[in-house]
Amino acid sequence: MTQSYRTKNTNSFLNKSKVINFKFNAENYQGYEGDTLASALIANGIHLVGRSFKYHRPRGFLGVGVEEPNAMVQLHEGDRSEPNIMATEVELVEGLIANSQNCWPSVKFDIGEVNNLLNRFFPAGFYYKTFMWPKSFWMKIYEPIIRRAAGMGVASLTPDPDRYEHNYEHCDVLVVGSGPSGLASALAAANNGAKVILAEDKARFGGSLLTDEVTINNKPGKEWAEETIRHLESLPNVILKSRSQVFGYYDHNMTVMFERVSDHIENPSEYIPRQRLHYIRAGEVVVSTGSIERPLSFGNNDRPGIFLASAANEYMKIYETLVGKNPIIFTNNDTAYLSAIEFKKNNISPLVLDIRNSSSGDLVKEAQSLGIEIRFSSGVANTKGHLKVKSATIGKLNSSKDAFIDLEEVDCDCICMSGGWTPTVHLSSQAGNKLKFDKNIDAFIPDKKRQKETAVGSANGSFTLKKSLAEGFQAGFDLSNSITLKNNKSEVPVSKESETETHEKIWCMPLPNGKKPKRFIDFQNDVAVSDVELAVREGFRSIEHVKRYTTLGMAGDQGKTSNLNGLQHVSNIQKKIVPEVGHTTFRPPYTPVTIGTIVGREVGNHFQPTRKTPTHKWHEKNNAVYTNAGLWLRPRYYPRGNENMSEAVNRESLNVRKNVGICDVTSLGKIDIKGPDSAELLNRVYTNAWLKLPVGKARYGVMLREDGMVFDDGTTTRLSENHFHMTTTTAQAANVLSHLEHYLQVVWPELNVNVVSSTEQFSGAAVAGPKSRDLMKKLFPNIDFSTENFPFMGVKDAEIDGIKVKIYRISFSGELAYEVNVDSNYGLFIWSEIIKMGEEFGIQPYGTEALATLRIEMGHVSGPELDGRAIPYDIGLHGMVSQKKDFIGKRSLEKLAFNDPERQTLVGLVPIDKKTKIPEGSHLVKDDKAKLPNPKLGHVSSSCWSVEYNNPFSIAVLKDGKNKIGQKLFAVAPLKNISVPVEVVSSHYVDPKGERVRV
Amino acid sequence: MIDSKNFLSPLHDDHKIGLFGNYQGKDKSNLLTVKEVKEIFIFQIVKYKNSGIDISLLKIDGLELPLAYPTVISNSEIRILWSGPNTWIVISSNQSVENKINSSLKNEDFAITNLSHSRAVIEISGKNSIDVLKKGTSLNLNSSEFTKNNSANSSYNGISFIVDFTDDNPLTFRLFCLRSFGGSFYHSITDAALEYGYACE
Repeated sequence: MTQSYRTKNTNSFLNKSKVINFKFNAENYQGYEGDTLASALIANGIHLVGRSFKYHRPRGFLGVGVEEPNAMVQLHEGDRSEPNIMATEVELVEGLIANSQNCWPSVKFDIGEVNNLLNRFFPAGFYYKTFMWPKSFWMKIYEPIIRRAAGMGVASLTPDPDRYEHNYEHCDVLVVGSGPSGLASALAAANNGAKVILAEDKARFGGSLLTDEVTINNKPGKEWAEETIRHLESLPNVILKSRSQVFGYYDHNMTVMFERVSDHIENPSEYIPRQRLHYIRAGEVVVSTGSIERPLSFGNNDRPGIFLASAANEYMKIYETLVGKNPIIFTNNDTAYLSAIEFKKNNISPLVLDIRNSSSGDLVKEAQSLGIEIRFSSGVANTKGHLKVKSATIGKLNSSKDAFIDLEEVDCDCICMSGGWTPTVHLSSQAGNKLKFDKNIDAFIPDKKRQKETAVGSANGSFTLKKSLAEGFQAGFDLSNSITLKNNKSEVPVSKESETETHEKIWCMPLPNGKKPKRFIDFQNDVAVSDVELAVREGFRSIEHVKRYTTLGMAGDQGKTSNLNGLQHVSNIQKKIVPEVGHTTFRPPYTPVTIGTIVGREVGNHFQPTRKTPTHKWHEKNNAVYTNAGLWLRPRYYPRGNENMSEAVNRESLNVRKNVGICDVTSLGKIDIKGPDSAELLNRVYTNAWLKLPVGKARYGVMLREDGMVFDDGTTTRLSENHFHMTTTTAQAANVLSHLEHYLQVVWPELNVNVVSSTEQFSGAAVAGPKSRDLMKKLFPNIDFSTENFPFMGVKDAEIDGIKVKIYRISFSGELAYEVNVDSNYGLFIWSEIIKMGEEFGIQPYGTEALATLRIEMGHVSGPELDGRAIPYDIGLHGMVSQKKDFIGKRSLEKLAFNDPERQTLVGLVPIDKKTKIPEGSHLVKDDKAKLPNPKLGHVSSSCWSVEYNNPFSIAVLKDGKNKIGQKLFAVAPLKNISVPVEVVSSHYVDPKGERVRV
Repeated sequence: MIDSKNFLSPLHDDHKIGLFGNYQGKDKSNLLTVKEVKEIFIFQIVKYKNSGIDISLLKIDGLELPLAYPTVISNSEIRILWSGPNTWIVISSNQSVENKINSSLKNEDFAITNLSHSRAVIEISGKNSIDVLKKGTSLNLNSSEFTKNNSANSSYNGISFIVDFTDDNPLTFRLFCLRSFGGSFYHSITDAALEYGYACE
């Protein structure tokens, strides 16, 4: 198909030397560089783009930019396929593929259009009244059908292959929108030395100056705009961003902008993001977002071929595209005459229907002088044409303009309507600005601002060029001067524009006699005048309720073209003035933003950071399977050959029990504590005594929260009189540090102590097992490892190959064990040395699973037991609680409930059959067949396969557990349908006297 | 002393030499560079709350302790970063810095903690280095706010880090993060640099 709807205008922004091929609904078309998908389709005579949301009515283009509610397409195919994209916002690139959406089998013949025939059954809120009965239909019939019908396009199910990024910017003045007031603000602020960001949604800067017939400093507006942009580009303090939509305004003058970086580039580099999200923190924000033309409501005003008049004008002037060749211009104001005049310039004679009785504005006079037929006090009552408008029923209005006097049918192939202009106040409103209603323009404009936000130009209701420029220059200077204090004021240029007359306050046409065609207000959500009337009739008074009941102004469109018409209609019905009806909330994003842009680079390996130990690569080479412990990647087990996890864990555990094992414990939290009051600090945060801990000795400690619950545990070593090395669990490392800092800064400021995390400074390896001493002797021949010289909880300094090492004789496995700490950059070296030297002792690495097995067998508590619900008594740590001194949480331990003798306490469990594993989290009950609610006596916290006894073993907390040793209970996991008969035993299943660590 | 034989830097497994990203067709001498700074000495100094010592009278290797954000005081060997009230980070590639600190500051007044092995350090240099930073940190890096010999604590794509603005010709920043996050941090920085193309040295 040829581009038969191109004008002969040669002053457009198209590059006709570059033809671009694209596909729409599998048909091949051509456009030019500079076209949007919308302009190229219209140029090819394509007006039918998709089907409407609810009624599946044929829909085409209404607008030319972000205001477009109808022309949504499915863009691209395969993994790049993207639904609900406004064709008016898509720049044409070679090979572009677009398809209609919300239709089947085709956009021309859509089965879903049956909804339109049945539209009387689908009024506003029908879904609130339907699907209620029969109840049994909901899950199997209604819900699947609704889910299938919901939405417009189809999201890709495969990962998005494109790259999206984020960026943070700070500036003195952010100017949103590059129309006359925006350019003026940016120019004035930049000339006054401010750091300025100018954001424009479209590919070209200039806004209405690109289409309006105005002059500035005796030059066409377009020329002035281009000169101004060139000047701004030359300034180092200005960032110009086209294709960038500021869509959200948040607290502290933080705005968010969405930039289409490479959507318009054919085959962009894989390293260049497709889109970028900018977080912009601005000293001042100038909202020069312009205004959007209001549609008019009349019968079947949604047919393809019915446009906003300004859109028709822009298609002609910027895209050399005619929206039709037999147009009707339908308006209640002067500005639509610009389109009429432009049509005439293209040798097309439009028919103008003006609701007003007369107008003597310059544009009207010019139209008259060009011989354009104008009918005042007239309007469109209805339209005809299935897939595109073919004719209009037009007529003269009576004196009160609430009925047509006579009606006639006239042929047309497009209708260009204008109901005046609505300031784009979304950003101001998001910024907290309380809007006010300006009855001169019948629209809301910004009023009292809550943040540093200033609306100028038509966004502020100033629709003349002169006023827009004056406001822009003034705001640019004032706002920048409060920051730069340079007092460099730019001169406001002289401008010339057409004088216009006021609009008629009518936006909805009366129905033609005897007919009730739908008169749409919200095209995207298929909300008609009758829906608003129904909502009010059914008792919805608040505009917010009307919005939700009818869906007016919701979803991606956010009421850009419908909001004010909806408010106006509600106010007409309720016989109130619009400000009394109020307005709905403007929410970000102003325009739809891709999920990819919001996510940015937080995908794949960048989804969240990971923490690795210095020996990570060694683990990887030795087949480690990792587990996430917080952000740490810790080896879970090291399978050999065809071993499964159980086999590997049993082998590793048994090797520690029989020989020697090595475990990477770098991730355990470490806190360096220095200062004269360090011991006093420990004495206050731990439940046991610390003042007399000798230098060179470690001690196990338990911390409580203020409510008496166990917070964390670990060993702390006194390195010198005023220097301690604390260890914490991996999970609580940061919390313990914060806990200490909070108490030091807020509660006990008198304590002279500094705490700093040293987790990363040291690499740690636990060497555990009966042969660990022999291995240590071989590694450090100069150290006496006898128990007499190096007892349990002792600490020694050593050296290997000139590298300083600290050896702690502590154990989590319950075996004779040492923990070797070294500066992290030597971590791999020491680890490798231990492995090398340990070969003769049968050393094997063990992961967190084996570590868990070893500690569970010994009845050592860990995360599952320290779950924030246990006091020391519950988990067998009451012996750690000093009765002589005060500590955090002590007072809470006196609570009555904490001294209940029947509290749940730590016990061991062995399955009766010695085979069946006990699921962690199982409930302990007396009778697994008892009627519900079956009293729960406790729960299983940790389970393992005991390598010592070769049967499953668990630890649990059990009501009055100490007195239930030897009893038989059931561990039930109802969700898994498992019930395991168990015997209650001591939690210390292996080495109950703790002799092994002391040998 | 650093035992180079057995020393393994935090980014040893991540930092690979070469040209990456969108470097083709660009002047190699002006390309963004990324390198790991190894064998560096880092000490945290905190004045005890009850110490009455006058900070303004103290010097380390002739350098005063900076008194406010975002100041860095430096000479050819040592950089002292203000890190918080009564808190500083002293950085040097010369091990003698430890003795210089200990000879200048008394243990009764200051907690001095060696953190040399606890940080991964990346240096990025070139005109796009600031663009790389802006992709991940919300810091205001405009030249009016953040200049040579300034430093700040912030986060980059969720990873805490310190940025030290060491030179403005070419733009050069040293970035310090916790050692365990080093791999993720390095890959975040280099990922952000792909758009401009970069050389790993």
